[in-house]
Amino acid sequence: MNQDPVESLSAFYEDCRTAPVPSSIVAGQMQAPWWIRFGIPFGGLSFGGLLALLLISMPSVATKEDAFKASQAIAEAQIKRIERQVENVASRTGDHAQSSAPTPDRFVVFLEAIWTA
Amino acid sequence: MQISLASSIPGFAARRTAAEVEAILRDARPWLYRLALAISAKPDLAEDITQDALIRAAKSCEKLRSVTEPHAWLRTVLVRCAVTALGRIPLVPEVDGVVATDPTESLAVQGTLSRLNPADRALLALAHFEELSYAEIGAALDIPVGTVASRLHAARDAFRKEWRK
Repeated sequence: MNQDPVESLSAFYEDCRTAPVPSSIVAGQMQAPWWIRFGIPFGGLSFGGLLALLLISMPSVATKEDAFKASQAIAEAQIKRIERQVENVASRTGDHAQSSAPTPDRFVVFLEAIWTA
Repeated sequence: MQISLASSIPGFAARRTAAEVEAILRDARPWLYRLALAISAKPDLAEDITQDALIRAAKSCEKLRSVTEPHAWLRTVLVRCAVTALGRIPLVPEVDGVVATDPTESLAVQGTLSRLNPADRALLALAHFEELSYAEIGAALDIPVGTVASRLHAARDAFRKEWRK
């Protein structure tokens, strides 16, 4: 070892100058702050938003692009769900219209009533 | 002949474009990480500090577009992040992983650094790793230039003292 500890310190800093840089730093993948990383659930934050934040918060794995894709997929799923709901409502309305329409028997009775009047 | 008003006024920088700011941040990433490693002496912590500094820099994008010396500004941001991060962890002799020419010596240095206070570690890194002038160190740590010399002397003494323990 060197005599003066400060010389050893300089040698350590020389090693730092050539130290390998992690791929996450080189690629510029951002980590979310700790309060997002540990997932504080905000009022009004949707499940999709939380999932996107969770994806962002995963260190060195997910990029913002992944989070965007995830939120896009969730948005598409929500659109499909709404479409299904609209279809259900439409089909229920159709049933109701059908049920409120006069049945053939009643119609026949109605015609007979007019005929006989 | 065109004369740029911005370039003719000392200390005044023209506003950078978003692409220029992005390029500055991209090029600065390895340097920021290595400075964080020099201060923290721990690769995983250095990574966290660098990420934190980059997030802060990205948030202050407007500042980065107009600041005269972007590297000095980034250095200040990183040093503050490092001092804050180191302040959260207790001063214990933890050592791990900087690839070193002499592993024994490197581990001894890392152990010694981990027993120093965060401000002293930042000061030593700025003086010996970054090789900055007193004025630049003062600007980075937000302390008067006159104080830098005495604090650096004290930090070196503290390092020597901890080294002998």
